[in-house]
Amino acid sequence: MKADSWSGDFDLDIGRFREQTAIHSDLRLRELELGGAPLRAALLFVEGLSDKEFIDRHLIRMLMKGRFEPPVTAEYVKNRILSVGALTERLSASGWLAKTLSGHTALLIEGIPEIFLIDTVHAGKRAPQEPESEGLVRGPRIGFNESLSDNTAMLRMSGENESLVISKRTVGRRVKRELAVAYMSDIVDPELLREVHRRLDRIDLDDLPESGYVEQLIEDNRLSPFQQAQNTERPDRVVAALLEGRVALLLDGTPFALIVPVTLSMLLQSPEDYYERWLPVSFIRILRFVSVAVSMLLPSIYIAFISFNPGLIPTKLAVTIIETRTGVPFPAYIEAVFMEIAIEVLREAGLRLPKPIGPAMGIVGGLIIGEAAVQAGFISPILVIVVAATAITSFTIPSYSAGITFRYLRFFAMLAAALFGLFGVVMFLLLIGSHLVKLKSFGVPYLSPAVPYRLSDWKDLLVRLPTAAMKKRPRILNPKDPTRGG
Amino acid sequence: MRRASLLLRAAIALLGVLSSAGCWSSGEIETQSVYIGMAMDKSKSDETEAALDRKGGSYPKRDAIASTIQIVAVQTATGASPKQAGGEKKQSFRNLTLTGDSVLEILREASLRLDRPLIGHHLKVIVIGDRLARDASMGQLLDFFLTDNDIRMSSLVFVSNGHASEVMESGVKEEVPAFHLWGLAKNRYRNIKILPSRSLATVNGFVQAGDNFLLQNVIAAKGEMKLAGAGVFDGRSGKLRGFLNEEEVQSWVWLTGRGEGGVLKIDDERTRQVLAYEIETMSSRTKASVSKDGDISFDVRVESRGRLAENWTSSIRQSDSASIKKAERMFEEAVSNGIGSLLRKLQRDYGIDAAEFGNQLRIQHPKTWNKVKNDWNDRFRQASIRCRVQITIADSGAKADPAPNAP
Repeated sequence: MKADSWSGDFDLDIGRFREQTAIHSDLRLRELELGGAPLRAALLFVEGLSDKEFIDRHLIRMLMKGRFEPPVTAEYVKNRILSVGALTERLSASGWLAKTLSGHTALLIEGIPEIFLIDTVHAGKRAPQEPESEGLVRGPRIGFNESLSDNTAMLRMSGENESLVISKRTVGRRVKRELAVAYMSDIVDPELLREVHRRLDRIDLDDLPESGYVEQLIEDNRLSPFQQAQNTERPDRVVAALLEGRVALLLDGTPFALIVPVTLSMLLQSPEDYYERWLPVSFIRILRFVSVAVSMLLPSIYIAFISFNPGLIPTKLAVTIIETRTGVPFPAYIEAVFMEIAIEVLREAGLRLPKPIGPAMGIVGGLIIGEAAVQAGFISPILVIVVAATAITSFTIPSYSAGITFRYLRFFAMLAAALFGLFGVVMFLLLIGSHLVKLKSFGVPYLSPAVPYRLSDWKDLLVRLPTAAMKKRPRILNPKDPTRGG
Repeated sequence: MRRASLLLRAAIALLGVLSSAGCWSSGEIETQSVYIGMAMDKSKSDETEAALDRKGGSYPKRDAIASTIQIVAVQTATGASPKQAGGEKKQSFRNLTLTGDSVLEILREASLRLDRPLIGHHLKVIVIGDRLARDASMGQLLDFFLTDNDIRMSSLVFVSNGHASEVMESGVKEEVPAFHLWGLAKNRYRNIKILPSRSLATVNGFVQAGDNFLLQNVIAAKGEMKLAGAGVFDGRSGKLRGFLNEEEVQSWVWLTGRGEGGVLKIDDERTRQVLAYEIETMSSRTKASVSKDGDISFDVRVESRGRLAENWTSSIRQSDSASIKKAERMFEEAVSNGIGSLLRKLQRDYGIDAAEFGNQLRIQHPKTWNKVKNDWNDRFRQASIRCRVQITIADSGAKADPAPNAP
């Protein structure tokens, strides 16, 4: 008898079952006799993970109540008895255990040297909910959950569409997970698709618990402060990206899908930008760009003006600032860094705290730090306004990850301002600018369509032109079908 | 490992270099004294300075200029928080008077008396006393302000018939006089008796070109300041020659057509009651002509549109076009008379062309100008100037007259 195949001798095989599963105490072995034929059978499944009701109603009932007519062969069982869709046979003795442990039910029948694996996975999963990290006022209220099949189903639900391709592959060396690559076969640039697969092939890690792992393993530049894949919980956002000619990666076990390639402007856009009318949306978009600039630069400009370029402050404001700052013992830089760190700590604390406490803590912390620090006279009131403005504006960035990036770049801008004043801020901007110009995400320039300059794609950059005017897909993605409509 | 330690060393070195090279011009705004106004007088002894001098705090100098520096937002002993000052916010300022002969030296001398050094970015107004302006040329007095890289060219220059330092001491309580003066200069759209603002840049233009010019006069009395007339400066010497009163400044604005708004009030010739015209627009065109024997003459045409804003008389009826015409004629006459007396003063008393006739001649007859420009002020005395004024009352206001036939 070969060690890696089934013998067909029930006692021998069941012994092997027992031997191999002895250490897994959550496995249940159910032995039974087939109805109508004097043959023994055994079902092996994981308690809690496998669908118990399905096993009771369909498998056990079918096997015990059915009229089996000998000879009972594998073909006969497969074709006449088991009325289930997801069924695999395993001749070899390897691999079945991993499947069983992940929720499949193994079926062994006397006289058949094979094992049937029936998909009875019934993991405790979340019903689709509104995505928490990307709230919208107007738009679908559905977000991905932790089940890959649910998530791909959500993409399918976007409408009848035969060009949507979802190709699955496994990643992870020890813990194998399914990763789905989704794209539109008649839009996506084949070269981009190849590049995505090439990079996914390079992944070699024992486990990838979240799509963030994938993101970090396939990105172009690991030292860049900017993310090179967009993560989203929203199926509508993924579908919109696919229709532009991008590729989406969905990993089993996480509600966050990745979209590649990404550009900076995408991170500052919200799906709502396309659902509302174009004029208000364009206004909001410009507001968002201003907010990003404010959240990144306001404290540094404050430092530069106070410490280096007092002549640039309007005179009456300068007088007010002097009056409020008189008696403040710290230079502007120390003061600003202190308060910015305080506000970041507060934000982080509010995030980690249990939900009912979080907001209360934020308010209390803000009040105490702001009000008390001013009262005590070691922070100037103007700085409190500056810090509040940077905090509020940083929340307007639609992508949470991009928000973090801009928030911590602020500290480097402040350092530059403290060292060289306004000149330092300009140098910092040049540095960031030159990095962004060089950065690419899957071969696509990060600042496109601004750099390289392509005016036709500007319709969807600073403002969003009417939907009827945007009939072309972004040309930088090199789509097979460049037009969206007539 | 090696690479990491190399990176670390490079980072430390970079940080060291940056932090020792950086910050070199850093200086918190509250550690500096922002001066927003400066008055310059012919040496007038300041009590504090005299007392300090007696104790030996002096240096070799000619006491040519007494400079009063107005510093805002000075530290008060009561504390920093504006809340502690009670409900209303008090703007604090401090005047510092120093005597010397070089403006820069005077300013740097202030560092011997102030813990926070002076910065000039926010200098708004420079007031020059008449005695100093008569003695020293504008080009010399303003040289430092034009050369300094902190001071903005938009600082306004005034002349004061009296002690300029009094202007810096005046003003309504709890208001900084320099800001007050700065604000007054912006009221041109309400009153015609204010000259177009003379910034350092414009004054420098006049000085460099050797043009005659006017500077707004500001006077102070009983703790209040007022814009009153203008000082007439001779372009060749750059020194003050005399003053124009408010009426003459008003006529100057009419003559040059530079008004932005204001009032023209006359007495009705029949009833001796008040009639007031509010200026909406005004313009003036000067045509220069040179006769065969070299006589220079100017034709000035002043036009204005506005509304009849106040009418106390019964002889002018807003709804009656003949009576509006009559009012227009009376206004025109008043403006012509005013311009006539202004020109008499400029031509006969001062012999200074402060109304830019020379400039018109330069543009329209460049060859003649080249011949006469060296003794232009003398030629200006003899030039004949004719002025025609046309005033149109475009709007007689919202008031309706009683119907003429009403019972």
